[in-house]
Amino acid sequence: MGAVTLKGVRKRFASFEAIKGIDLEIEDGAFCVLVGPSGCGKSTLLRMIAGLEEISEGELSIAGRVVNDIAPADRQVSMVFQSYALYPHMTVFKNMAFGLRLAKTDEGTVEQRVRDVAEILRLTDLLDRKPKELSGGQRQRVAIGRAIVRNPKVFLFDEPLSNLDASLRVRMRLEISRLHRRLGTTMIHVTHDQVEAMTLADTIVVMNDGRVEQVGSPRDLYDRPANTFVAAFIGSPAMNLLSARVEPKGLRLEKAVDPGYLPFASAANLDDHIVTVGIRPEHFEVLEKGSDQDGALGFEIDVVEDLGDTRVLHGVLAGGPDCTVREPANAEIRSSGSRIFVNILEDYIHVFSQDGHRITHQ
Amino acid sequence: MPNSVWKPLKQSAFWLLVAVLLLILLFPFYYALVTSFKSGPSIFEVDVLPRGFPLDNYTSIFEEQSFARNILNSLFVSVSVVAVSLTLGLTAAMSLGRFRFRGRRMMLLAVLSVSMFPQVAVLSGMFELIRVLGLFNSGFGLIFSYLIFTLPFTVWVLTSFIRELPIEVEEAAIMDGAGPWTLLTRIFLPLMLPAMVTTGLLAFIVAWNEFLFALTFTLTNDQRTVPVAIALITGGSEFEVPWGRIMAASVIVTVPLIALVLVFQRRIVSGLTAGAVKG
Ligand SMILES: Nc1ncnc2c1ncn2[C@@H]1O[C@H](COP(=O)(O)OP(=O)(O)OP(=O)(O)O)[C@@H](O)[C@H]1O
Ligand SMILES: [Mg+2]
Repeated sequence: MGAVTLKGVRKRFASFEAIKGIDLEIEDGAFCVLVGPSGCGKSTLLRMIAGLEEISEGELSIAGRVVNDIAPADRQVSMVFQSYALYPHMTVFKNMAFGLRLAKTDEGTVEQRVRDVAEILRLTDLLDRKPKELSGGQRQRVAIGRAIVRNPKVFLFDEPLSNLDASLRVRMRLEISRLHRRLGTTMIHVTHDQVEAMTLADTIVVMNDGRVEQVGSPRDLYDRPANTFVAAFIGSPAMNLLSARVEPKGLRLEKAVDPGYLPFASAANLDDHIVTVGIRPEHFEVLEKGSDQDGALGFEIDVVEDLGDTRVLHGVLAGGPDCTVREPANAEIRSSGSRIFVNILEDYIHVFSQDGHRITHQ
Repeated sequence: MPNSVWKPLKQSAFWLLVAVLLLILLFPFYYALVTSFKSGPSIFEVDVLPRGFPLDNYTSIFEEQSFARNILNSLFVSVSVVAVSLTLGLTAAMSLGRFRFRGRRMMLLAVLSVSMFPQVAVLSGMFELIRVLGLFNSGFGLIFSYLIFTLPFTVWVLTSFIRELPIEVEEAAIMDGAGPWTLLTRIFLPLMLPAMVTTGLLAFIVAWNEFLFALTFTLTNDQRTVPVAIALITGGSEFEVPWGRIMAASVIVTVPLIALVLVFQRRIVSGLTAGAVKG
């Protein structure tokens, strides 16, 4: 059992409060990813779980046991650091064996476990090397190996892939995913990388300024962001957030010079007068030239970014707000300055109140 | 100039420079060696090569004076200075480099400023201090006074070295279950070995060669260290400066230093560059 539970956890550094009260429940065996902008407290939270940072207030339990006052080594958690933090003067074998030997494991078991783990991570041929004789990816695997041999109940990863180049990052991502399936141990993983978060996690925790904004599956967060912060944070390119006025006919975009109405049947049920409308760039439907569909909005293209598989169009929607549209790259080539028409399906429209909370309708 | 002429020219100029430098550096020692085999008036004849290897000077400093005793004193003082400097330096560096506390900067600056006073300026104060502590005319007094030279650079070098060790390595060890003692002996010490060898060696050389304090704080010959003993070597008469013996003694006391440097050479170099490369 490796469930992690936080109750009203806070962290104060002198006068500065880095973690402002977090309640979180991470199930045994879950792959939980912490995301959030730089400085929001992800590392601090992880280090508190590891025991490297004292908990100022609140309660942390691991596997049903309150561990606030338990030493890091006795919490049965392992941490993989962003800089790998291997012991530079020890061989790969000794790096991995260090924790086991300190725990007075008998030498036969140490040898056995290190070799087993080295096998899993394809490190067997490297056991006699020193860290400086390894490549970045190999060092990363050693760091992960060192965490695994101790057979912890929870793994903590603080941006373990951020020092690797793009292709290696993809490979290691896959490897971590495989490892999680194989070991079935609870993992808590901090990352800046959207794709990493979406692909690895079964639970994503979005943090902002020391608080949790939303917890949910990647699908949840993408489909039903709880507020504008999560809406803007999850997804790339980011969701368009446009201010709109609630009118009987629908939602009318502010600043729009065209009619600028978004289809929204239940507009009448909204209590607010002004709302924020969220539309993901990939949810616009770009209309063929000439087809003049009812309710289509004009889109003035400013910049075109070709990403290979898709194309991102930056421009002005309905003569008013700035907006981003994504379309498949097999559509006809468009030049900046040209004008197209886009359509939006009502199902894809997110509505947020002015203070940023999702308005549930229907 | 064409490259084919320029390149050998540059190379020979380089080696010429090296040769001149080596000559300047090594000639005094070489001449001391040659002189140490001479006795009587032949001292004043200029010879480039020794004419023979009579060991009279070498035997006489051991037989007619207590030079062996002086060497032992020097060894005792120098080794103790190294041990005390490294122990104090390492523990001080750990706290100065790893913990933030009030007055840390002030303390570092104070440590540095101690090493700025000229030796003569502290001489009389140190004399009083040593007398009050009852350490006059004893090796312990010398050890105590040498710490004011060796501690500042030991603390500074080790502190900057510890600061460069990534803190995450330490945290990884903590997660692995290392307590403070394991941390010090299994992580810090091995990583700091090059820096400690370098600073230790410098401390040894300083203590081994120190003259002014050794002269002032010792009274009897059986407490003197080598530099003072050499300066006070007596000749056959009041009017004779026994250059032969002085040179023989100098050669003897230089040998341990050369041996030490040669033994630790690789570590010193890696220690110096490790500090240099990382900034
Ligand atoms: N030891 C400390 N003393 C004071 N403030 C700290 C300390 N450690 C972190 N902080 C502050 O706490 C906040 C959260 O830091 P943290 O390192 O957890 O951010 P993060 O989310 O991991 O950021 P990043 O994505 O850049 O790694 C920051 O504002 C930081 O300045
Ligand atoms: Mg961080």
